[in-house]
Amino acid sequence: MRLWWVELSRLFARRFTRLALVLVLVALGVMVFGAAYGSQKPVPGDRARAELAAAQQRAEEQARCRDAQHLPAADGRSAAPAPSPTPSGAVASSVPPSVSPSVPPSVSPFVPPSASPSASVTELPGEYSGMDCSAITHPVAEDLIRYRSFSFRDQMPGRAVGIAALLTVVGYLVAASFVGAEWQHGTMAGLLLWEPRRVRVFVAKLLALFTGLTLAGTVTYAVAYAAHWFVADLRGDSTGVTAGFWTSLGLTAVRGVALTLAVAACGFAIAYAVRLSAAALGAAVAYLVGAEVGLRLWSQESQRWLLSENITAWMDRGTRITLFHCGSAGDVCTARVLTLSMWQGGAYLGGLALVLAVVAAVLFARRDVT
Amino acid sequence: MASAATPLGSRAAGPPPEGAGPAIEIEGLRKTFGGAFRGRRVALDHLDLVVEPGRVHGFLGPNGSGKTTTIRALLGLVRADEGTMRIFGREVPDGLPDVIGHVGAVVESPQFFPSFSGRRNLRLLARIAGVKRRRVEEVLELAGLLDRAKDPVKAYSLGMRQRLAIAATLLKEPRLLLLDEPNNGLDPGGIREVRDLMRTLADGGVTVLLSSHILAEVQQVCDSVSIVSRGRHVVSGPVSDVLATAAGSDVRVRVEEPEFAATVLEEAGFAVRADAGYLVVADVVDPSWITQALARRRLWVSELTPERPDLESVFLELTGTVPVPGHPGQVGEPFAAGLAEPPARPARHERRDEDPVPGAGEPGAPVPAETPDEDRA
Repeated sequence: MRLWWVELSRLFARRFTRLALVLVLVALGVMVFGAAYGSQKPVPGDRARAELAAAQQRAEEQARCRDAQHLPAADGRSAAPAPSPTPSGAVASSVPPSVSPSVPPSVSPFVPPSASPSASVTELPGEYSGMDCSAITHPVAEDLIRYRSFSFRDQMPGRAVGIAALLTVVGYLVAASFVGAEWQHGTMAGLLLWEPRRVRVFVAKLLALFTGLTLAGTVTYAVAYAAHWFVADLRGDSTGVTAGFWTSLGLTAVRGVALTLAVAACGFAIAYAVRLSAAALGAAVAYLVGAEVGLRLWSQESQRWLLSENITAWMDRGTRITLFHCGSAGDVCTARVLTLSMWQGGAYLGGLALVLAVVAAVLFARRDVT
Repeated sequence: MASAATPLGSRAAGPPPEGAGPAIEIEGLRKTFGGAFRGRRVALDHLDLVVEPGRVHGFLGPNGSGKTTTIRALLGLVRADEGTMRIFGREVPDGLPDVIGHVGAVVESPQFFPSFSGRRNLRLLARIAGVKRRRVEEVLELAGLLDRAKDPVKAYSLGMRQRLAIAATLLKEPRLLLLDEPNNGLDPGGIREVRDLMRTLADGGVTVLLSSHILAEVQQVCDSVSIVSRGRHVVSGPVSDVLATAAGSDVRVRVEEPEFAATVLEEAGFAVRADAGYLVVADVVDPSWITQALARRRLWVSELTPERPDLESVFLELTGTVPVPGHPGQVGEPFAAGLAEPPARPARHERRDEDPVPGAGEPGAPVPAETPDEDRA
């Protein structure tokens, strides 16, 4: 307990840690500023109109897709160009996909662009070839509103994942530096003159790191949520936030902090085993180049073992990886979808961190400290 | 370091935690370094060492002889391949957690967190050991660092870091101090303060194992010494015994006609060399034999001074590291020719006890006056 407290004190007394915390706060500030900048309160009714228009456009695009592929309509009717139902019951007219959905011609009141259905079909041979028409989801309401309005409900979940990415990178660096500096300065030997039980020393350091990062991560998320809520409430859109939404945001934060701990444990273990901070950085770069790029190109099947996919699965509550298998001539390809659940991703990341930590602890316990 | 009179705490004067046996016992310690690609190097070759409690014990040896490795092995920093070690009767490193609270150590160049102040470094260590903060201020004062305690360690000189290291060892109020070259970087005043501190601690019942290359310091402060060479134990014992068992005593002689006198002494079996108008006769068991040999040739001695061997000469002789002109010595190897093999001799004072007839066969022993004075003519 004393050793844990000492290590925790040392962690927060280190200049690198303080610098990292300042950088996180600065990044957070930039994020909040970005949310606030140019944002304004939505005009009543605009959003409803934009949602309606967006739904119309989506339906029209799907219809055009089906037309292009000569598929029957979603309701089983003929493939002839037909208006699609919209949430409001209105009938959408066909819209050429060539019209950029992100730049609506008008906003309030919304006037959907019109074009000749026959022209659009003839203009787009092969445009929708091989596509899953039901997967066409754009545009969204935000694309159809001319002014920008920060919506807490719509944008905060994505930003929460971004905060997790920020914390993960910072956590990795702090963890590697935390132990690497101790080896570099030769203070590890001095510490063992006071506590010779090496496994205890290792665990105390790791727990101190976890404690520090959990504190920092929790505070970061709390500050981020509060600041963004303040911005949304003051000059954005804070409507539609329910208790369930807050729970979901809280769980995202929990997953973000857990991810930070797992990745930090990896950096900690590598630096501990190799006795060098730079080794952890080198390992990270080597992994990014060798695995995330090289392995992905070399074998599609290996994607399920990549950290990026498992991190995505963990943070996004599951992910789907599409694997393409083409024939030898390359003309016939089949797609296979691989699903990684949140718990699969979490178990993989946790297991990896645990294995690395155990290896580092065993090496530390057995090797000479010179 | 302000020292001697400063109270060292109540625990320092207490009995060792385990019985009254040796503070340190090492038997057959062996350690090799290296690996498949670097080749193996034997650092410790079945080393034996015993340090009695309440004494200042010098631990001497040339560079690369295994002193630091021995101390590191005692402290659990390196794993020995063979052998047993005990501190206050507890086998280490397994029993180290039981005794580490009574052991303070300075191993080679002590390192601290450079961006933390000296005080913060000590406070972190004190918290690990459950030592009160007040003790930190005490040892800072003891080490003469109170005024610089708030400065970052990276601003300290080597000597100041050494002082901080010694202060850190005193935090626990240890019963055993392992000091590996504690005088590194210290100024003369600091060296004297460390010496006084060691004596004060020893007088208070603390055992000190002092590894040092400053042999004059060791000779002044140590009650006993052990000399190691190439990972092996060479000699142990009280300093006076080790000095007395040096390979004979040299005698400085002033005499008329030194060249002829040298010839006479060489004929009598002495090893003689000239030195600034004197003759230095080596390995003399009894100086009177010199006067007898010279008097028989009517050479009258005007001055005859036995030269007491110092620890340095004993050290150089026993470790085979007497520098040979034109032959730069290599670390871990003897300088002197003919000492390629590692030492395997027992302690000199022990060997002397086993000699059946002390002095028999020594050069210059009295012999019948077979040489007539007329030889001189």
